[in-house]
Amino acid sequence: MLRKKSPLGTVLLYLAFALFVFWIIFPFLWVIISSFMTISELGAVPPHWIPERPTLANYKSVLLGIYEGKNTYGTYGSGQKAETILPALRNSFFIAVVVSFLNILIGGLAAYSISRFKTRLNRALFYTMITSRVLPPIGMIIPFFIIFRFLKVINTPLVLILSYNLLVLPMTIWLLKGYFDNVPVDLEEMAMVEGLTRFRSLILIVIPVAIPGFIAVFIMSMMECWSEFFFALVMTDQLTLPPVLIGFEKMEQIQWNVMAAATVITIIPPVIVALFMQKYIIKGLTAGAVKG
Amino acid sequence: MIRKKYDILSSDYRVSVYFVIPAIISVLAFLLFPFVYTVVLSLSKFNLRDQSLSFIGLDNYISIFSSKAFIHSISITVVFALYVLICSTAFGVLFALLLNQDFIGRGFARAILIIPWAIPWVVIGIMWKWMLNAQFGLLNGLLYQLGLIKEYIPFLAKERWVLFISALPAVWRQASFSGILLLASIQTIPDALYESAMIDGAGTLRKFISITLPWMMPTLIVVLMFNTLYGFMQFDTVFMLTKGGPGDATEVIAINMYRKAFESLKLGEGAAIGYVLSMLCLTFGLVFIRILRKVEDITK
Repeated sequence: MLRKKSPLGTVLLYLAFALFVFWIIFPFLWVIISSFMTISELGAVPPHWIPERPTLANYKSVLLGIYEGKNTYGTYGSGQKAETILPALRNSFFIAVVVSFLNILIGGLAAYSISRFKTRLNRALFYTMITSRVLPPIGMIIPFFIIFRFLKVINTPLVLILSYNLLVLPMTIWLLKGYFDNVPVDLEEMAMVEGLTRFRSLILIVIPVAIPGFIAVFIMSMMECWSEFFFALVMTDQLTLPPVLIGFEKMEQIQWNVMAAATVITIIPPVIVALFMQKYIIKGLTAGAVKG
Repeated sequence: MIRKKYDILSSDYRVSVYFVIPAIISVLAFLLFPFVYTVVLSLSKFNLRDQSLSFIGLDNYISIFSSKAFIHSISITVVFALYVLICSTAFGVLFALLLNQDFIGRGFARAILIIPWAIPWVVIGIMWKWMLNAQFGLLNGLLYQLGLIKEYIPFLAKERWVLFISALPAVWRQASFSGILLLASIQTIPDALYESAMIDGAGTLRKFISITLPWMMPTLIVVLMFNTLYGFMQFDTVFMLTKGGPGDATEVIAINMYRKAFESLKLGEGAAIGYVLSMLCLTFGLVFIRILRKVEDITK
């Protein structure tokens, strides 16, 4: 658009670019750098921007439970194998996958029905979904807590799977309805005239066209579950990664470098997915945000 | 769109109902029931030990609204949310305008814009807390090495500023979110619009006000809505950064509720706070949705 740029304009543009990169990258730097540091180097003033003796010990600690030197890991005795973040990593992944599949199944069917049949029930469901997008999940946690506690299922993946459904379903129905709306009804009717059942035409014609929508929804609900903290904090005892990360702070002696390694491991999957699936995510975000 | 009348007995109607049954069960069980139960709890005294529930009318509401801590948390939440709203939206607009320019490295800049959105809220809190650390934080290190400060600043201990500093992680995340949406909206503006404006001799500011801004208005309203909501319901980053402290300087409503319900185990009062927060968010959300409808009608 700016075909002839003034030199001053160019300088300002690149200055803005540099500030932008700094703003995004800087908060990461210290977590990444310190995850490769020993605890003693961590305290250097001014800080070392590059570890003098880079170490993988922190990653070994969180992944293998091996702690070098004397016991600095809070309550664990020396030589004893400490807990790793692997169970939490597995739980987080398991819960995210189950919720995302359930969500696509429940939300996809509902979105298809809402898109195709303008019944009163469907309209009511759709408006409830829109409204619930602006309700804070935090405000409704106490009933979940009481009921799940009463049913004695507190601290199981089940409570998170059931309650995360609520967090992702509105977004899913909203978004997939938009994708289904873009599949011409004529196409489906033609298929049905040709003798396909509604179900077959759904599978053979509608779903393939809406595949980008499914991918977007799947990624977004995986990420939502991967990040969810409040429900996990209240209803489980460090079952998933976010409360485990917070748990490092409760150790007798916070080991920032070990916590940093755990933090880096937590952010690698979503960042990689976000970078590679950017196209789908941006489409999903914009479709989900603007269409009502 | 073809409009059809659906006969109750037609197979289509049955299909339409079957397809929404799982979603309706979900909504009833995990949305409407908890919502109604929160209201019931907020009007009762609940004993966690024997699960007994006794109705006490508006006592919980009277008790929270006469507590200084809650009134304080409402007032700082308003400040917090306004600050998140203004900063995130302003940064988002600037990011979108910047990343719409032509420059070397634009692809890289657009790629990293999505990163803050992808990172769990708690982790954002951890990263910022670590960066702002008073003894070994990299921000202190940087300012020190640049000669801008003589000694390290305890960013999270200064009661006067801590509310604004504790809001930065949320701003960091929401600025990116806003930038992604607004950039996507700006990119759909046809070049012809700008070209005709150029022929008319419109300056940069003029073009922004009369072309870019109206075009992205629906998206901007959605962005304003999400930024407002995330400001009002923010828990994760503040909990990580300050746990509501020092003192009660950052005890926003969500943290106040958490403490009441799960530290003092006053579940009735906690439910009342949760209900107040829900009503606040619902009001703001519905107002924004209304405005959005109006704007969409105009732009259509």
